[in-house]
Amino acid sequence: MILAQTQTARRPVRLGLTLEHVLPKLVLAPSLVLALVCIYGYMAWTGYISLTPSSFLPMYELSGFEQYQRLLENDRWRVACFNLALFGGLFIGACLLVGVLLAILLDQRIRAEGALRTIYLYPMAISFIVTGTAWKWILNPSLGLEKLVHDFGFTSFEFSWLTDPDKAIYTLVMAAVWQSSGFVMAMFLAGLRGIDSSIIKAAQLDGASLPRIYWRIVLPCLRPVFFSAVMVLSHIAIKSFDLVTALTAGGPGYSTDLPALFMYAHAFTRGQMGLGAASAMMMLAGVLAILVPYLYSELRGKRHA
Amino acid sequence: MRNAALLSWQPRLGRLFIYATLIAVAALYLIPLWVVLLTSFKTSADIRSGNLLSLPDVWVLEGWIKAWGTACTGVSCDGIRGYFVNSTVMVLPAVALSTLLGALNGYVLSLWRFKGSELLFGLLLFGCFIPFQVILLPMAQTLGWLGLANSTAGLVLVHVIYGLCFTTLFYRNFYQALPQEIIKAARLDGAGFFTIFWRIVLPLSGPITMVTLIWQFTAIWNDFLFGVVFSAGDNQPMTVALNNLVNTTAGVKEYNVDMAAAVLAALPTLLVYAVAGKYFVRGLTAGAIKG
Amino acid sequence: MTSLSICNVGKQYQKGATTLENINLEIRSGEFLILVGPSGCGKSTLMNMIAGLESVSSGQILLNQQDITHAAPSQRDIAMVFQSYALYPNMNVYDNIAFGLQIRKWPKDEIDAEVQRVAKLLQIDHLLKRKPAQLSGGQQQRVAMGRALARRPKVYLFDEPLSNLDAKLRVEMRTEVKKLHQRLGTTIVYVTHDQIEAMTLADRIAVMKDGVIQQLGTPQEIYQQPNNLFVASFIGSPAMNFIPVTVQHTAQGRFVELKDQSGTCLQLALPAGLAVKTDQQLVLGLRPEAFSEVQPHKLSQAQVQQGEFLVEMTEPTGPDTLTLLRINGAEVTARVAPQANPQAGAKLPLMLDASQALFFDPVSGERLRALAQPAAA
Repeated sequence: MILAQTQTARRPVRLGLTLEHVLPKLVLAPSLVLALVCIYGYMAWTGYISLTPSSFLPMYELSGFEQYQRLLENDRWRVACFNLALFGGLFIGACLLVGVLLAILLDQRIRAEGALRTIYLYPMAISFIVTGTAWKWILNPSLGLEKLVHDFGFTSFEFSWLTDPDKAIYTLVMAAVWQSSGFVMAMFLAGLRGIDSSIIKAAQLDGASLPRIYWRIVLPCLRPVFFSAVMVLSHIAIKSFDLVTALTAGGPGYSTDLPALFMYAHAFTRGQMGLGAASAMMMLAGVLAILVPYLYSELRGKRHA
Repeated sequence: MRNAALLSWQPRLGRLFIYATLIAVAALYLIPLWVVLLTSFKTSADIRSGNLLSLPDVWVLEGWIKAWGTACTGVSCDGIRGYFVNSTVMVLPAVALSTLLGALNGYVLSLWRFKGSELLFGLLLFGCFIPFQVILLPMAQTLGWLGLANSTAGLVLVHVIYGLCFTTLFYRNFYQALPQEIIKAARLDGAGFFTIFWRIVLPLSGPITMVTLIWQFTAIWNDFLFGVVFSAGDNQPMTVALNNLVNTTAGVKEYNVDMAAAVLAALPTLLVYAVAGKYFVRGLTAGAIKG
Repeated sequence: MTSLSICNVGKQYQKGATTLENINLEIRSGEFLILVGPSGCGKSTLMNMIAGLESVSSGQILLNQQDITHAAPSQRDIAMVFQSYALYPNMNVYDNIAFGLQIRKWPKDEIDAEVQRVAKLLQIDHLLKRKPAQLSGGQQQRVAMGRALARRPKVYLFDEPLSNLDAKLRVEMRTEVKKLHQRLGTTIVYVTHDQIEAMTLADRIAVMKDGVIQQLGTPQEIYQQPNNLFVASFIGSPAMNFIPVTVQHTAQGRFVELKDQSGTCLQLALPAGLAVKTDQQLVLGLRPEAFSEVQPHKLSQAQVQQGEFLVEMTEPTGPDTLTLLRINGAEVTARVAPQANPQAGAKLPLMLDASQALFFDPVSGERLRALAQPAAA
């Protein structure tokens, strides 16, 4: 009986539905196929190149994990990875701190809230190259901040982080936080506005003080926003290329090198395509290491909800 | 606002402190822009004698004129004029195409779902997250084969392909919120796939189209990575030219020219932000929270 | 006019879950058929399949003897009114109504005439320039119906069209829908989960549960002779009382006992020909109106008797007071005139009319029917 039914169900005569069924897929196909090939196909391609001894031109005979071994032994790569951890950690931490504080302060029935929000967020509209150029000038060891402070009368003030191999990385953090913290503020502000006000009313009736309400009730409610912010910020950090190029160009020496810069230099200017591809794959692995647990918990959360 | 009403700190001193903090931070955010503007209007001598915040002795356009017309960017010394045009020529078709395709994709993926369409969307969504370094080498190779290496057309193609992930995401999430029943009603009324899109769905897409256009415009105008990898010489976009100009080592460093060029590079996106900041913020938070 | 036949229609999803199984319905021309059932019973799926919005896994749908099982929605000439109205938010009322006609390439003046006709019929002609967002719920509802009417389709489908309206408006619109049907004589399939809507509007009702039609019949049939416990409990408000009883036997015949906590005990003779054995457990179904205040002139009727019952609680509704009793341990609602003045905790003389009593098998839930030839077994 059931067999007979499924057979009638599969009958081929469906003329009326055919076009309606096919058209959406037909419309979707070209751009989607193109995009998917250019994402997954190219990822595989890069993965393959990373397993070859390609230098100036791509070669297609495999040489195993040789490039990865070279990469791990490469001092500049190690510096780049260490820098990324340092830069990423400071950048994410500072952005979150500044963003959350600004959001909470702005949520206090502030008069010129719209104008202030606009000011905090405008750097986000600017290219990292412009930001880098501007900050490079501001932090200029002789004519920039140092001179300004001297002119205020503090003549012993010294500020040459930009040319100090140990400190240059912190200038990157400053510029990046300047550019991105407003964005974190916007996310948290949107989150704050989305919290059910009856929860807060209930807490007030329970006699909780304001900072306590924020710490114990409001901020825990914003956990999802917190995680998305960390996601986005770590993503910005890993892809960070323009800002370093414009501000320090990886220097002095390669003291502020980052993986993105390393990859570009080796793949496109130093003729070490295989090594560049290997470093790109490592960057992908880094993104996946953050993304996969995040998506997993997101999807699981949705299923439970 | 509802929460704010409940949570306002009552004591005067507290509020004073809040305002002081907010205004101080706002000043910190504005100072770099102010410094850049001031510097761009100074003469080179003025820059050396004054400091970051000192007003120009005489306000001059010297830096701006040179940045626009005669400054050296690497080899050539024609200012950034040509690169500004390059960026414009690149950004307009790239934004239009990626937005249109994103709208169509989002329409299919949310309102004409089929078996496997969610998976396809998930795969595409992942494209928003990959570090682009991982596709640079094959893309450079492909553009070479297509004869599009170092051309504006090639850059447009790259921006459309990788912009699709974001534009599709935006439209898909927006259309997801439209009631499915509207589509059903239109189908019973006899409307087909494209009629429903043009007559019903697209007229409802005003806000998300603004968000997408602005997002794409900002992203593509500000892009540096694709510009530096996939273009060369006279075809480079503005960001690359600015970086070249600033890092050109020949001659004496002219900070007023650098700053004027930087403002010019930032101007289009800042203008968009000033005019339609609401949509810009919405794009950022939508892309981040839902993405 | 138009008849719609649904023959052996089934719907299976890929994961193996069957939503609908072998649905057979014959909807006559001009008939108002209502599909009613709890949410998830498959009534909306069935409606979507009639409209062509969901594919049919097995079976056939015929419209005027013509197979439309796999036709596109636009080719079926069926109109639908949605629960959310699904008005096009970007178009004004006029365009909402005209859209289907424009797609079908009607001449402009005919479209205009048709929109005007429908708008007058539904009294929305003053709203034609407005956008849906500027209309009240009731007005949107009218526009949604107008959109369906304008195309003069063969069959109208209504998918819970009134459930987004507030209670008062819902009753008003219910009357309007009924008037409209009487005036136009259209064929309507109407889905609802509201049994009162089903009772008031339908020519026939199909009660559905778990993808199966439990019973198809006129509202009276469904109300008075429900096929099983589900239909009996679903239709009617307050719901039918179910009292557990045991079949007993004396020289006079078989009977069941109804015992109140206060010691009252009524004996109810079983109808002749009911295939039950002594000591068998049954469920007795009695509508609340079977219990009422004592009306002396009725006491002489067969199957009417009286007794005193302990009142547990009262719920005055206005025209009558719902009075809660406990019989054989089960909660029983009686519909009593307020004049009888039932008081909680007091004893109240009540009259029981058992002429509409129904008996159900407690295991299968099926109603037990009297055999055609009584006492033959």
